[in-house]
Amino acid sequence: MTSSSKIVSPYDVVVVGAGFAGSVSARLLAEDCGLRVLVIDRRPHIAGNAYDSIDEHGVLCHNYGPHIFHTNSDRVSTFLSRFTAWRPYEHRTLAEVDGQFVPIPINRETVNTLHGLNLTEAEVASYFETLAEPREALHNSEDSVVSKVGRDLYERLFRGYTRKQWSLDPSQLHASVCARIPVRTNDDDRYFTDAFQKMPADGYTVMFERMLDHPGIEVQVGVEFDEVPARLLGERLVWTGPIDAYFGYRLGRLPYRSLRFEHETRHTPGGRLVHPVAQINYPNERIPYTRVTEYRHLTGQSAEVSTLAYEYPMAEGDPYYPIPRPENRELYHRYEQLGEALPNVLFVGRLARYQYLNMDQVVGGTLAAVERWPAATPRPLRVAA
Amino acid sequence: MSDGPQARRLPADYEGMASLEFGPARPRDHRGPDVLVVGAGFAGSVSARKLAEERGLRVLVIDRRPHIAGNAYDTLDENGILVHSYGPHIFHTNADKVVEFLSRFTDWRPYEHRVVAEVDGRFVPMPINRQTVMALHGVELYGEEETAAYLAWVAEPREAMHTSEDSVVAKVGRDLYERLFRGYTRKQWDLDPSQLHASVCARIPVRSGDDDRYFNDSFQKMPADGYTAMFERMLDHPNITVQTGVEYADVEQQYAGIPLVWTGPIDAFFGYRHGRLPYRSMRFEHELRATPGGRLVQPTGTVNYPNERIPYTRVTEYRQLTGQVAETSTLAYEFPSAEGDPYYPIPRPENRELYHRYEQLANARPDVLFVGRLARYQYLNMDQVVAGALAAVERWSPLSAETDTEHLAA
Repeated sequence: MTSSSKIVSPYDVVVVGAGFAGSVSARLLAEDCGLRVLVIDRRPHIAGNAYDSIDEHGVLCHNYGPHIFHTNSDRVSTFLSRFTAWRPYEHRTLAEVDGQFVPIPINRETVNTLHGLNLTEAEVASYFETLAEPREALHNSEDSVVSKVGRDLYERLFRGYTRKQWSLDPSQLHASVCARIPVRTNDDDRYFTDAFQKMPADGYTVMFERMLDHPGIEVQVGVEFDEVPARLLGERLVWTGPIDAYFGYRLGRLPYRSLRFEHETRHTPGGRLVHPVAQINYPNERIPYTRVTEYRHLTGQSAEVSTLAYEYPMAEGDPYYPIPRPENRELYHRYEQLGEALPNVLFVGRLARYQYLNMDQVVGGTLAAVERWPAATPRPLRVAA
Repeated sequence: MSDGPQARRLPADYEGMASLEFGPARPRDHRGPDVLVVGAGFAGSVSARKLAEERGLRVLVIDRRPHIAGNAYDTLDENGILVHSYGPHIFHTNADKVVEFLSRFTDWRPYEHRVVAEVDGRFVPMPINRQTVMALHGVELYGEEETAAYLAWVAEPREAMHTSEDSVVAKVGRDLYERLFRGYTRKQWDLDPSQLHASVCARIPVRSGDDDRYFNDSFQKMPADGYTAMFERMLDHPNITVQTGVEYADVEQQYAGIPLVWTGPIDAFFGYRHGRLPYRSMRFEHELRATPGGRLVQPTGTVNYPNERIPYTRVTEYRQLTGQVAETSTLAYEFPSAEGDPYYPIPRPENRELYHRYEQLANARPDVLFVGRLARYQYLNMDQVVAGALAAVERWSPLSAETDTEHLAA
């Protein structure tokens, strides 16, 4: 008699999370490996934190905060371009400092404004050298900034912002956190310098809809992983949620920094914009939010109203940012070891890798991870028992 | 002594003043003072000088705080920066009489106050002028006429001005009202402009030209050596004795029966018998910055933050006001608060009514002169207090110069 009376799942792989990591995985597994993929997300929508939607005033908003796409990876832009057209957009940011607005990252104008100078490009480079406080070793983020631009600019532009963002002083954060931020001697005031700086022409959600629109993919939103009937779970799983959650927090919780957004709608007769640039940073620690973004700058939408998003870093809430402290990294590595013992489970994305990753890094990382995943073979994977 | 020049650190310019003494009452005369002045701020000090000088009266000035000059008190902070301990005081007036009087006690340093407000990623001049409108509405306006016409177009006419919301919206429209006035007023008063009398915001001018000075007055100067030095000179008169750190309650019995100038809260004088007059208070957070080469931190003396999500209303850089040159600079962040020293009478009709009940009590006391912001329960600029005190003392009749002089001669 046939011993395998076991009901076989209609899916070859379940993907948990419909954000970048999950959706890119699903598309590759369905398209390249011919697998039947079920994508679930606990939220009532796809696209993860990149989800955008029209608010009650008709303005396209990023529900989980501003997402600005930029990449130097041709592979990433080529992949995503299958699912969206693009609108050129170069992000610019000003920081409010003592009654003035200055470009961020620091450039020639920032220094000249804050120090009341009129330096040329060549002069600015040597001026930084006079400001910089040499450090033998860069132990923390304070070191990495002060050794580049000196104490005054550090205190006025970095310290308060970092404290608000992380609820930690830069001296408590790894040197790499603030070292990422460039310092420029020229007048380039673009926030990013990537070769590709464009936004999905119809928004992120539409791009995700097209990415997930494949005969091999089924999507169910508003579904917790726990709620998925065991009979639907195949042997393969792509996990894009927090890695500690997958293992039932058995080694303890990985801490995250969260964000809260307050949206404010303004009348903008004639379609004018409220802000001179998309994003205004407020490094001053006495101001409770870190930055304000005007979505219409990002999306290019024309409207008689405009929505601003005030961003408040929070200890509680949805997990946004892994907290870059050595002890957290160590805890992650212990979870990572548990993950490595499960070859049929792929851990991808910001939450599963417990790492701050830009969108293009998640896409690039997922493309590579799925390719390397031994379980990502054309079905059937399992040998009938 | 509580806080004389020995306790205060004086800048180099003050050296000449350092020998002044404000100690306990000097027992020049066993009869004691002819008049007691409660409060050593503008109202009290001006009154004291007038009474001492023009009527030849012996005046005892007391103040509960350990210093003279009231809220105008300025002092060197621990970093050597001259700061206004009770928030920025910018002197401006159109009254020649006031200038003439104060100029006897101070030289002046020209200073025209300018303010910018942070609104949605821009700094715009306050009060509203042509630049403000162009920046916030993204329009080009050529000249005053066009600006005036544009403002008339965005304005929402009101049949009657009941509240401060009415008075602003009727002048500049809803958008500028919401972005520049509403949040600031709510923070300042913890009341919506729609709950405040029309006159509160009506005071603020709207300009169709490019004048970006905060005040229009013909005289805009700061005391060259600061306010405290000016008060020291004003109170430096043989007939004046100053005691600081002294509560009225401590000396009330001792000087019972002599005429009184009261510059404290009027309700306090009458033991709050009708209830308390409410005040809005202020808390200041000072922040020191390094300013190599003597540079300034802010582009203007004061920067306003109308956004309600920002907990303070404005930030002032004292060195811009005082003209002091230093390698550091002190900023004052201003947080309106419900509790603390009384700063601003709250302009609500019920408060005005309560004040009038106290005023009736005051009218029955010709032996007591009520002068100053707290005793009149009214927002008054410094020059208005000086002018008010000068006039009030002149009109005060319980003791005439003649009778008193006779008394002294006898």
